Amino acid sequence: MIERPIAHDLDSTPDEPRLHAAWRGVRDRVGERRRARRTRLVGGVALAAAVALGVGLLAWPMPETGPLRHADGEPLNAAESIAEPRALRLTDDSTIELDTGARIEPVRNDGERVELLLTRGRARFEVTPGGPRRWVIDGGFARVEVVGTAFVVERDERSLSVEVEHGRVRVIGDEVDRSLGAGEHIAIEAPVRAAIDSVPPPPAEAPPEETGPPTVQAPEPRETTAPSVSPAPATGEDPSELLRSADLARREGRMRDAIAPLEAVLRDHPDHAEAPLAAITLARIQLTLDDSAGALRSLRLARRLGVPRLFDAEVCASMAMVLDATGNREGARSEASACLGRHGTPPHLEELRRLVDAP
Amino acid sequence: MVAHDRAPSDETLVKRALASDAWAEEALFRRYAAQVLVLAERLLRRRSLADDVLQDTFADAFTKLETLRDPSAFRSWLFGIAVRRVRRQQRKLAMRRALGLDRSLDDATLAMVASSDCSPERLAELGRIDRILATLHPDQRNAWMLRRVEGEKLEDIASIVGCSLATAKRRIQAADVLVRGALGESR
Repeated sequence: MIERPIAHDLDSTPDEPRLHAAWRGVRDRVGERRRARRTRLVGGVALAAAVALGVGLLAWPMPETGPLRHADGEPLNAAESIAEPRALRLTDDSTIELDTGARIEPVRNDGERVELLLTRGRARFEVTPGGPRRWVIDGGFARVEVVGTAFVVERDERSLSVEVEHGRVRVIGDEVDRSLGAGEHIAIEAPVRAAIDSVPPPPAEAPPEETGPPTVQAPEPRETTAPSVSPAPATGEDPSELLRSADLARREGRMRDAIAPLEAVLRDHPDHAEAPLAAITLARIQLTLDDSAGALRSLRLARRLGVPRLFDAEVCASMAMVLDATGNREGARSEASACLGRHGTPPHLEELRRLVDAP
Repeated sequence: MVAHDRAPSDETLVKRALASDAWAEEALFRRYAAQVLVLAERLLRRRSLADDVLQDTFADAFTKLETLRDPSAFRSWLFGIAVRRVRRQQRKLAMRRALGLDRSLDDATLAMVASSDCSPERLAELGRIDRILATLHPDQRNAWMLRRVEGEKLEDIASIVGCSLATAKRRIQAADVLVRGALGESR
């Protein structure tokens, strides 16, 4: 055990953006202390400290006890987004963003633990770190235990995927117990029995289901199913039908089949209320398929159509990443800088900082 | 002190920093920041707290640099500041846990920060060590980690944690017994 230092078995290379941010913090702290030292008068400092201590004690936020509620005081019950995405802000400042079709149900909600069941769909969670409650997201065939972090969980009948934007989560299932860090992604296939119990039989063209160890990817590959050979979903003139068709294809992992109905919505129904969301969804798919140029077009189109505030952070962060990928460094830097200015913790935070700080 | 080919020594950098040379301060940070961050992360088992410790450690060091009597001993002096900052965070964390204000999980245990080429058996072993370390008093755990994880010399550990050599040895030996027991090893 102890013959050689354990450090040889450990990862010991902190990322450069983290050290860069720390250096900025050190300079700020040293600057503050030196300024304070120059101007400080002993009596004044003692008085100020006493006043600050008093104010601090009065203003010290009392820890919340009892169940989490919506920020407006309403109790946290089952919630779903039917026609359009929803954002839930909770009393501890954590947020849950439900994509269309997603549903969550509180299983336990008290001063010690918040356990939410994601029954279907895709949801993004941003959990305020350091709170008194332990957060658990139950995805059916695996659970996600949360430290302070932001991450996305997507569940359908056959699989569960978890993608961490920043922070760290622990994913626990029958065959998996993994800790995921920023940028990492895991896709877990449903056990065959669970899938048979809960879903209708798959179409003949669908790839056979397999139960195997989960795959951890960091961070590029996202498509968990092989490119589908099934025909593209039927596309009608009705934009809602087209969107449903695209959503179904996406949830089943047939990413390429979702493109045509989304493009039809954008081409034939640009005034539809969900057209901006269709453009954002199309960009997500194109990013998944490494089509940076297509994603750039879709993101620009989404902006022209009007990005809902809920998605602004994702769009500006994705825009910066895509501009960088297409070689437009200056555009990427400008976009990243604007994004960091508007949002405290946008997706891809470290990459955005890297883009801003790049020489 | 660490030798750096063609790079100025710690002593030189400290003297230049004392003469208000901002470049020398940044050079000292660049030289030791990664080591301090990794050390803090491993001792605290929390990534977010380690960032704070890193910044406070260097802020303390640069504002108290004139109190360093031997500039060539900058590294162990800096690590001493870091460990004192870590202890302060450990006390706060223990208090928050006792009051029920923090129930979040550790995210930088040995098993969690193991390198990707670590074998499953070694990972399991690190997991067992983590469980034992969680039961130790922080002073005992810190001394053991400095010795067995970081590979520091006993004299340096005594200086870093601010205790006598005999105390440092006693803490490490006591932890060794428990860790070896958990791993099923004899002395």
